[in-house]
Amino acid sequence: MKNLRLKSARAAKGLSQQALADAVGVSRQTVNAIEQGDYNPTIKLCAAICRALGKTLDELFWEEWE
Amino acid sequence: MVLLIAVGCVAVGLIPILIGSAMERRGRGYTDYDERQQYVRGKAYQYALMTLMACILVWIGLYGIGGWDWTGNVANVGLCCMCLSALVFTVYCTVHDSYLSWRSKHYLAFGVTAALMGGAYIALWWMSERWLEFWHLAVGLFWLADGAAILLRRWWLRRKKDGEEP
Repeated sequence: MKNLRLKSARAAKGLSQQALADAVGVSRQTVNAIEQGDYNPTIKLCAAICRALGKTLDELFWEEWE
Repeated sequence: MVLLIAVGCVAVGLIPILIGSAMERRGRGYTDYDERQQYVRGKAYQYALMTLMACILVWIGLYGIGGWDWTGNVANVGLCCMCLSALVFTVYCTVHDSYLSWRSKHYLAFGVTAALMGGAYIALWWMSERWLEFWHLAVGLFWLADGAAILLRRWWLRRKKDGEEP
């Protein structure tokens, strides 16, 4: 499932995928894979992304369960 | 033979690194794989090992059932199995953008050098006129396919602008 919240948070911050990738120390393809839902990041990377975007884990990665 | 393989490995492994480092100036770490890349490489190792085992199993089967020694000698078989296995590894990594570390920008140098080495080995095999001793061919095909995969992937990513979204 695509992570649209991450994508919109990044866009709101005015960052490209490359800029975010540089900020958290991964490849741009990895950021793209996370946004596309092709890769589940570790909690460490999630935290780094949240820090870079000024969001909480809940805001970017938590999915409500039915 | 061992010397030639060593020369090939050094050429393909070392020259791009030297070129890349010169291009990059700062010459940052070559083993910086991010977590996704490490995961992909783990899967690639798995597939490569399975390929190696399957190849050896097929050969043992063919040899055991029919006593058909189509390979000429055991060294050829071993080398070809390793080439195929390594090819699976490199192509899988290349397709998933994990062949080089995320900081490396040496894909072009790697691709071109590998393709050239492949061509050289195949030419060597052809000129030797000992076509049943096909380890030259196996190594050549490996490097050629490896180089082609890298260059194709690079071309594809550039064409699609690497999936970059603003």
